[in-house]
Amino acid sequence: MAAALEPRLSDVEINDLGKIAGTMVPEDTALGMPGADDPAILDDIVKSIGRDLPLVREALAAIAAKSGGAFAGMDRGAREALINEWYAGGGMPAVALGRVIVGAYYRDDRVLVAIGHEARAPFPKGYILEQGDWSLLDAVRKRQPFWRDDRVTPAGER
Amino acid sequence: MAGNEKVDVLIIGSGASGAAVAWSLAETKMRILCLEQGDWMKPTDFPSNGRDWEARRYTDFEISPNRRGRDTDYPINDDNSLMKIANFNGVGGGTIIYTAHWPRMHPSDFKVKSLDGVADDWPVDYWALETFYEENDRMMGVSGLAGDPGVPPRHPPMPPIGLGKTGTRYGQAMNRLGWHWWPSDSSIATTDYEGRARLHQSRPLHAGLRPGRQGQHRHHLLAAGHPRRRRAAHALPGARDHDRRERHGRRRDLLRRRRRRAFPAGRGGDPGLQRRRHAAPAAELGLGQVSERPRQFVAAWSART
Repeated sequence: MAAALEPRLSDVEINDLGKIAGTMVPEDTALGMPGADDPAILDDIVKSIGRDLPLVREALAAIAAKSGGAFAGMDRGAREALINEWYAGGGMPAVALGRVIVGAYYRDDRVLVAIGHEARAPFPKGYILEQGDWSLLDAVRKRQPFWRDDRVTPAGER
Repeated sequence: MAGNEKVDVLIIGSGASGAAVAWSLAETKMRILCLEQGDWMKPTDFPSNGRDWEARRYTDFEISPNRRGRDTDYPINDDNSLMKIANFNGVGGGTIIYTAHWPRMHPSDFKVKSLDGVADDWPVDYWALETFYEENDRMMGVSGLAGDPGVPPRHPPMPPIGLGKTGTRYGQAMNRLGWHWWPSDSSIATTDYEGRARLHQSRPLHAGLRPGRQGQHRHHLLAAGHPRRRRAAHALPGARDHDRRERHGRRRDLLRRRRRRAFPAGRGGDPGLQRRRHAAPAAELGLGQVSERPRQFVAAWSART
């Protein structure tokens, strides 16, 4: 009960969170991308939890219970399988956990640069959006109008 | 204005409707009071100014006041409603967070009683409002694409926002399914328009963008008599899942082969796809049941052309 009233994660919870985050988003040296358990990213995750603290705590507790407290000692494959299984039915705690982890991950400068983005805020420079393939609408344009014209009776009269 | 000063018109709310009504009556010289339960938004307060813009879509720019919890918010009990509350208490109202989506009602929406035997017909029909829809599109500065067979003819004053990689993939999936799709009308300037600079970043928008066009329109309407400010409009990278896919576009193939994410496997492990599927489960959205349509779409999206 006392732990639930703490305004921030405990060191033990942060350690657990790091293990989970590193499993969900592992490091990829070939791409030059850190894992979500990278110290700077994990620190950002922890600082960003905010109003999701109760749900994140619930997620950590659920994963700990599901693993019998042995999550950290499991091999990668087992950890991924466990999280996959839990996530599918994890509800709002799973959503909150995923959101805080991935949200912090994708604002790290190294990650942004690795995926070809500039490490900056959207404003004021903005971004350029490519037009894309408008010919995809050719098939749609060929269709007859199908909106319901309220001026036409069921018999087809105006 | 003194506390007991009489007015001719009292408008409650400075959102899409209130601000437009206030503007439309400004030249009548009537004494008009528009009450808004929130404050003016400072452009520097918007999330797009910072690196934490995405996170702020779920905090101080969250669409539900129950989570947003600003000083101007109060709890709204939507437990028993499938339609969850989405509002913003501030000058501009919901246009602060509405993503500039600009649909019209369908002609049949006005005739639900006579056409479908439910509820009541409106006292006006689409055709009586059509002229005003067009005028509103012109005033707001709407971008879109004419020719949609799913709606009555309309004429957006500006070309549509680009499809981008996400929109292209979306269109491919919809064509594969044989489902109708069309780029949405948006109150976003895709070109310089009537003294306003075009949006520097034309992407699907989400809550928290620097208004530039949509919210700022309402600010301008309320400041009747003040010249429209020329400003550069900017937007966020867009919906989190769209943005993720845009960001990954250049390394997508490599990522699929080499990165393994412990999000549910689903279709090929595409990170953007994982996040989209699990970012808003049905329970969170308040949906009692989810149809097969989303799953069909996910399958079509994942298929390779």
